[in-house]
Amino acid sequence: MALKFEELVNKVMKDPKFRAALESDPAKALESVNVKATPDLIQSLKAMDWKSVHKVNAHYKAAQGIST
Amino acid sequence: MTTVASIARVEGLGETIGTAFARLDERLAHTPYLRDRIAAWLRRLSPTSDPVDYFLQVRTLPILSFPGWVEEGLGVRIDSAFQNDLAYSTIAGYCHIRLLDDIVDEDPSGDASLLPASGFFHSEFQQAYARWFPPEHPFWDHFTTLWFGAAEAAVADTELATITSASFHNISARKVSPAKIPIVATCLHHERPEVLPAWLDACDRLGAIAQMTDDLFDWQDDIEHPERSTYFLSEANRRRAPGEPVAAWVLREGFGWGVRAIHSWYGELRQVADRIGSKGLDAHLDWQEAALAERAAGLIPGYRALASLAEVWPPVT
Repeated sequence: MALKFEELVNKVMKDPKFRAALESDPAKALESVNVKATPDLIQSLKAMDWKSVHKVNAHYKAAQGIST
Repeated sequence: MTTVASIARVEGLGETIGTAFARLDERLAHTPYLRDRIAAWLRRLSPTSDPVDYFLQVRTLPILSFPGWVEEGLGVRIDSAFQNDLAYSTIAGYCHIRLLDDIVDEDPSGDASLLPASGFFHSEFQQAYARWFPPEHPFWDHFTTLWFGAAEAAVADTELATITSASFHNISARKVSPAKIPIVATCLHHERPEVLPAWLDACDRLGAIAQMTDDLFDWQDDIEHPERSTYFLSEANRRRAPGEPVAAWVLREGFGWGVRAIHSWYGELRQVADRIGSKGLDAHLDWQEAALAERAAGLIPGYRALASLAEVWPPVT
């Protein structure tokens, strides 16, 4: 079953391997979660401000008391 | 987010809290099994393994600071013996509530085998006031009303499927009722009941800010647990566009909406604080509001980036 948007956001926050894969090879990462890699989606992922997304993850981990 | 670095911001409390823990240890001297288990639990809660540091952390709801701020606002001499009793009682009361909450919330730090210790904590929480207020004193009416109200709110909170603005403020105010007990005690101890309404109002408002701040920054965990209803996610459900995922609304505008709401509540609270005249409370609000702005600023660019994905993410049928 494909990923809901909520599940995607949680996976991006909590699964560093998936987040790295989504950044480096979006098509393959999307395939791993049964999501069709449409051109719009690939374009959005490639244009994503990943630096800011990583900061969100750092804040999330700090709030949860998870060491980096 | 609470860090060890933020511990240093609370001044003057370390000695009072250290005295309270020494008293706790002494009171448990004849129950060594209970003492050791409680000590181990308290060490687990603390970021440094020192229970004193756990209670020195800067919190949105500063339960141990209130009595000192009230005395400051009243312009009376600090009564150390009274303050030490209040701090001891407040720590015991906090431990009682935390023990139960962690079990109810299925928190990883919960320990059902330690539940019998809640009786000890409750006894210590209440007994500390007996030295200062005889049984017929009006303080005890406040005590029971506030303590029962907190229990009522805790139960109601677990049963609400959606939370409106009105129910949120009602429940958050009653959830912080135990923090009002030392405030009532301080006002009545100094025979100044007329200042009580303003202080209780300030505590209610701080309670709402504390709850909303938790809801806002924990939304990702809460969304994974449908049984946890929060005001923020209830608003997300009401305000999102038809068919829009809740997370998409939060990322697109909801988080910013929540931050603005909390800032506006700080503004309203500052008007109450101006009437109270406590520099300690003013400084706390300055620090907390700046911390909120800093945390939010660190998240918003990343949230906006993720929001852009929502528009192209395929709907799950």
